Amino acid sequence: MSTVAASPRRASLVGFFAAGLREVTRGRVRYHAWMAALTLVMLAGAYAYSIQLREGLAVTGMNDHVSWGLYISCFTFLVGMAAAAVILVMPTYVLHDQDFKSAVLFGEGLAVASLVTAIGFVVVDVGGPERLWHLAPVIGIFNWPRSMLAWDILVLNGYLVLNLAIPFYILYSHYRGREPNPRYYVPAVFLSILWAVSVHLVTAFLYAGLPARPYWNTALLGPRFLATAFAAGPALMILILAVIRRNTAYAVAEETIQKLALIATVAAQVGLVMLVSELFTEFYRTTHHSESAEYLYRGLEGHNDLVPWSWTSVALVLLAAGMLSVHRVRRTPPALYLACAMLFVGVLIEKSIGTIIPGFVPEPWGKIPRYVPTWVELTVCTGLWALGAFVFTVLAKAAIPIELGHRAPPPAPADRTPA
Amino acid sequence: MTLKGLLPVIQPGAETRGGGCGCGGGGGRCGGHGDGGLDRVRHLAAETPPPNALDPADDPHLSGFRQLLEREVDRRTALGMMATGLLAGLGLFQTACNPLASAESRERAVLDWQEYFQGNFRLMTDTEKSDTVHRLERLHELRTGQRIEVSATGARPGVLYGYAFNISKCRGYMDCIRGCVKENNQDRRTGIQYIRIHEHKKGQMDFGHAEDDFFHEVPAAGHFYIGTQCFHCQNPPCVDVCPVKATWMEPDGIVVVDYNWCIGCRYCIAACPYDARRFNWSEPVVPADEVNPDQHYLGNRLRKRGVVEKCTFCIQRSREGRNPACVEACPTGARVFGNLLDPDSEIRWVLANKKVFRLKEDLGTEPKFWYYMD
Amino acid sequence: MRAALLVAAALLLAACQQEPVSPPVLKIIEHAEAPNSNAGLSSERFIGAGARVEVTGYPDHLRFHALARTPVIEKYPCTTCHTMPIERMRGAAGGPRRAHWDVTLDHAPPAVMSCATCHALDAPDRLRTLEHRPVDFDHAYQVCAQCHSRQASDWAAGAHGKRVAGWAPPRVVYACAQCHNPHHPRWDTRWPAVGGRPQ
Repeated sequence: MSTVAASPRRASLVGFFAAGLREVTRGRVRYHAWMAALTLVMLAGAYAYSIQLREGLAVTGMNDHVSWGLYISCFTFLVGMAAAAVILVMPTYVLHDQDFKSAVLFGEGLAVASLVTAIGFVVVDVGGPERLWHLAPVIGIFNWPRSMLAWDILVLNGYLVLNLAIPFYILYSHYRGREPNPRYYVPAVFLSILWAVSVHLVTAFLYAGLPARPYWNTALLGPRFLATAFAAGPALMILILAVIRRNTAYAVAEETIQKLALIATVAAQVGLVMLVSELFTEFYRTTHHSESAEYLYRGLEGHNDLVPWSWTSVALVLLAAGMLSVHRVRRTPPALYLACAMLFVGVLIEKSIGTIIPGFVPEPWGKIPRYVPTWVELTVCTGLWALGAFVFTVLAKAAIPIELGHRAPPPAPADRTPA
Repeated sequence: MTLKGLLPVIQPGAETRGGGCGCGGGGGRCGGHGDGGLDRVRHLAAETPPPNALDPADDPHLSGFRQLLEREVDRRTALGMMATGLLAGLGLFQTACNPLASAESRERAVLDWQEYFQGNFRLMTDTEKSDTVHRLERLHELRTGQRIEVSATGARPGVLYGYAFNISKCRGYMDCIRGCVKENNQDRRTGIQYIRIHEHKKGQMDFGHAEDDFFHEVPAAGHFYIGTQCFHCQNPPCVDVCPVKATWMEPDGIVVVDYNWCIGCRYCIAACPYDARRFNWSEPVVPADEVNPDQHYLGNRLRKRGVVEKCTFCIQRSREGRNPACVEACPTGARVFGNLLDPDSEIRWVLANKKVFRLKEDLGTEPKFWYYMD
Repeated sequence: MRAALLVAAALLLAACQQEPVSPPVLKIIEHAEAPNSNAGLSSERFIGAGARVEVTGYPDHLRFHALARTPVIEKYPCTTCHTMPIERMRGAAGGPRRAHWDVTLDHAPPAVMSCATCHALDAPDRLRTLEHRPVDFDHAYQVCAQCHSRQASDWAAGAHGKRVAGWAPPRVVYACAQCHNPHHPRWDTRWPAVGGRPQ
């Protein structure tokens, strides 16, 4: 781990941020290589976005029928990732389960990174980003409580604030060498637990509340979102913790990983049950309302674009859930990581393009529109994902030394015990 | 070099750090040394602070101001800060403060600025509405030299618009679409059309099996035609979902969009069960000689990219007592339009005497657009 | 903690207020006040200068007008040329057939209709009913309505045919012959005005 710098750190807020900044800007070669690679991808994304700003959204593959595409697909998935932080927060603070304590800050960091990226996807998707101030309550109009999008903005930003404030308070307390006061953070933690569930439910209600889109207009959409989020979130968390274990001195308890794996397994199984329920309802007797599911799983009148994606996703999730259900697999790191990666990718496909695109196919008058993302969309998308990884890395890199106790300031003169 | 070294005459009484010349100018601006600016820079770079000295940012004895200004930055950062400041100044210069620009472009800058900050049309007072439309007229004149008239006529009391479509009469001519496009200044590049004419095979009401991108002699044998557009629902799902209330139903029943307020999130497009709405994915282009100059703020005025638009029952015409362009263009008389609240109107007679139905009625949207047959 | 729960409860209650859902349109219509002045609007200035005649014979409907035909019929009055009975005109010496010799009647089977069904051949400036009552060209709808009674009553009501210019009063409609050629009333196929662009 890095050594303490020559100049003493200040025991204040500015010192905390300065220390964090210093920590984030130094590290081993592989750290800098990772950050440089992410920066490059972000720059490419920024360039692609500049093209989009100049020419308009016509440079994407979206059209009047499939009016939400890759951007909102990724947004949907990332909201789920953010909500999954609750899986770590709840046991740590409510059940006082010590096994999760070593990972909870990273869970909250993952939530922050996911939220920032999700909000980024919304910003790049709107046609008039310079008019986003119209959403602000006093200077603009905020259509709450009627518009679910207004609800979503509230819950996402509120959740972001919570996931910044709680870890900040805890980290800053550790930085100052004292224990955080439970009276401050426990109520906030309870709130964030409730909020985490509401974050993904509200996002699901965005889609589920539209009778115009029968594929989404189902009561199961919200619960499915939650189940898959609680499968993919811990899966990603396990992979991240593996990386942290490997590259830093931070000790991640094995029990943390095992409990996370168990949660992911159960959530994946529940998600599969829901998928079966969905497939049965759509396909036992097909009606006009099942056309979207047909398009997704079987293809509709020769349009098969999404079929390989949907079956890949089902296969990955099925295989991963099967593997994880075996106790030995969860105890064997390579197999565990493989299963987690498969679960993550499977849920990613299903919750992004597998949720959004079929909602628009067929369009209201029964025709089958096509949607193929353009290179601009793909580049902006990868740029934003890189941003998410960047944000998470920054947060983790700044937090780890504090947690390892290296960043505490030298004792102030008054505190020095007389010789 | 210090930040302070780059800013002439910031703190007259402050000690200079490292630089022997106390004139406060840096980077070559001080001409007092005669060896050119470059040597001056080298001097500053050579004079680094002693190793034990505190970074001014960390020195608790300095005021915050001095902590900021006397902070050591490297040359690259300093240049970056200068460039940012220059750009900000340039930005100011480009706008209304620029004394070198013509009166017209300055006026344009002011109007563009005001237009950006305008509020939601529905909440404006009459004076504000009048100012808004006059600003739009003037902006168009400045941009293109063309004179237009943008109306802000409000809803007429005692009027609720209704529409009826005679399926027996429609022959797929699409004169309605042509009339609509010409009347409503729609983008010619992407060819936005509010109206869709569906060609159904006789015996098949299912829209999924109908064609709407046909181009052959009409009516084709064994087929019939149904036109769809915005149905101006009395219970519009699109209005519910808009996060900024950029779309709403006017008291006379027309569902409108404030194009300057819409942020382009396209939630309303997802919410509409009738594919009524269109989005400007790119900047709309209408040739100058095809622009319809009789415009309404909530209707056929020229839109910009990134906003949603749709049929407005030709609000610029219907509020003056005229028929929408589609009704007027249809040669077969398949379209009927009028005031639902007037018991003597044609639309009321159709509703009372013909077998009418509405599409997707089970969704509870209460569209004000009925279909009937002879 | 309690405060937080109270705030949450208050928020939920505030959120549960629904925007008033509009009553069904037919209910709105039922409760509409009659008569309705249509906000005092008039479509008069859009109708144009064409002459109009008041349509008679439909007492159930408000007074309305149809566009007059006689000012726009090219060869009217007929007696400009038809100065003698048609049999004599046919055989007139040195007279090549001039105007509308090429009119073929493609309206109904010959057993049902001939030129004389609608035209009073002995008084060509008028049409005639089946009972030999003269009918002015401007009121030709009375002739059409004899067979096409359903279309005619729809036309009088506004469900058939077309309104000139505006929905606001006064109501002026197109006359039958403005859309339907009486000698060949069926509409031919034609190409659409534009191609559909649904996406």
